[in-house]
Amino acid sequence: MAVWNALEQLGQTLVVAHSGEEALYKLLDGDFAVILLDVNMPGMDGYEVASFVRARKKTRHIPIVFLTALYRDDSSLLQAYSAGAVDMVFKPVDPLILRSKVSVFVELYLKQAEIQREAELRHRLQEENFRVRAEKLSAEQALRRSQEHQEAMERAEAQQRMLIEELNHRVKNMLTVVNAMARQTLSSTPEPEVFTEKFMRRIDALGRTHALLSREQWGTVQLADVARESLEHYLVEERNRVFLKGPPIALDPKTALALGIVFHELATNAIKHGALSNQQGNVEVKWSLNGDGAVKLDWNENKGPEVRPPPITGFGSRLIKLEMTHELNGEVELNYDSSGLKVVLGFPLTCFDTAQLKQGIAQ
Amino acid sequence: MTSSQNPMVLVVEDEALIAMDLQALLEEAGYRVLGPANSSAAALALLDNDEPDVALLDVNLGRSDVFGVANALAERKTRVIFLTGHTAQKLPPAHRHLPLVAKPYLPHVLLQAVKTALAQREPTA
Repeated sequence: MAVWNALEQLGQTLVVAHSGEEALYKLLDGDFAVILLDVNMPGMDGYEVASFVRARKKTRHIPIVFLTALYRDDSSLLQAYSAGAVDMVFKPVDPLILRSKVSVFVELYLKQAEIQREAELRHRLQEENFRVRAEKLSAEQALRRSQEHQEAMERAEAQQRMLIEELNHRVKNMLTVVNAMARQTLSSTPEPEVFTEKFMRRIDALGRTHALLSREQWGTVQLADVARESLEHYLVEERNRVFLKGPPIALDPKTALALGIVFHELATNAIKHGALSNQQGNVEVKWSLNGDGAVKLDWNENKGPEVRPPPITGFGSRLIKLEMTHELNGEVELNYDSSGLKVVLGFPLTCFDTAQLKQGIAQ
Repeated sequence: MTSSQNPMVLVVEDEALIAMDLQALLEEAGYRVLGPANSSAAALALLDNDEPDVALLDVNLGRSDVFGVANALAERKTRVIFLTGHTAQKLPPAHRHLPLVAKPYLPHVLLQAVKTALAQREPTA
């Protein structure tokens, strides 16, 4: 009671235990700044309680002040300190001394608690800082990803716009070619039936080369395929009437379209006037690639009716010449041999490269 | 039908069939045709020897364009008409004010453009 009165003024929480067992029980939860422990208690004495307090990790740090009525002899002091006491207070208790001693431990405890709180606060701030930085980083990454996505979308849209423009341009050009084909065909064959037949066949030939190019996504196409596509009708329906011989040669779209027109005009003429107009004639189409990347192509008609120059007149021959010279920067020679029409075509490959040359020679 | 007094039209067009058609349309209308040239280089070579009264230029020539020829003609104060499937916005700013005939063209529209260009020639030409 005297102890209670002496400490009440400190304004701290006081927990009273009336035995060693009760004291240990109350120490199980709650944290304490100091333990005032009476040495002489019924049952478990103060030294025993102190040894339990020291043995337990959670309470090991709590300072113990023994209250004792014993004389201040060396042996009791030694026993008290070896049991873990940090101080001794002798009965009868002087309230001032007790208060003063306890207040030192309270102060110490409060300081430690404050330091711990500060440490915890610092730790929390650090964690918060880490968390915010991590969030910022992931937000930045997300932003970057979204920007990259946006840029990819914009690139795709720009490419699509460009492709549409290119397609638009090609369509207008093709319509212009069809108009020109109509006007020029009409000027050489004004009779409606003849005009319609010739015009439609020419457009059909253009369409077939286009289809071939579309299948190859407007990359390169093989010369043999262009020939087969333009002459297919005659090859299939009149077997062994046209022979194609030559190495693989890749043509760019412009060259393929021009050659397709040339093949069509030559075949149409052969059917009407030349080697394919009778039952025995044939056409030999031979080509080769020379060292400087130019193609030489021979169109030789055999066993046809006797040829009288000029075998091809009007629009057809002008078209062949113009396609070869104007479109392909090449040349054309028409020989009206009495055994059959002999045509020699020469043109440079615009998409020519050495790999192609090697491939051409190897095969 | 053509004589050395008839106006001369330079034609630059790389597509053979269109070049053939332009030549036929212009010659039937009484003009002399210089070309048709299939490239800028070919057109510039023609200009070394001849002085056309007006030029009809296809804008896209394969992988290149015709603006080098247009600039050479501007220096000579020769009237230029562009022929293209593109819109005027596709032309460089320096050439955007020049007359343009859209592909596919109608013969009377094309010939009217040539006639207008000839009428606007400077008196010295």
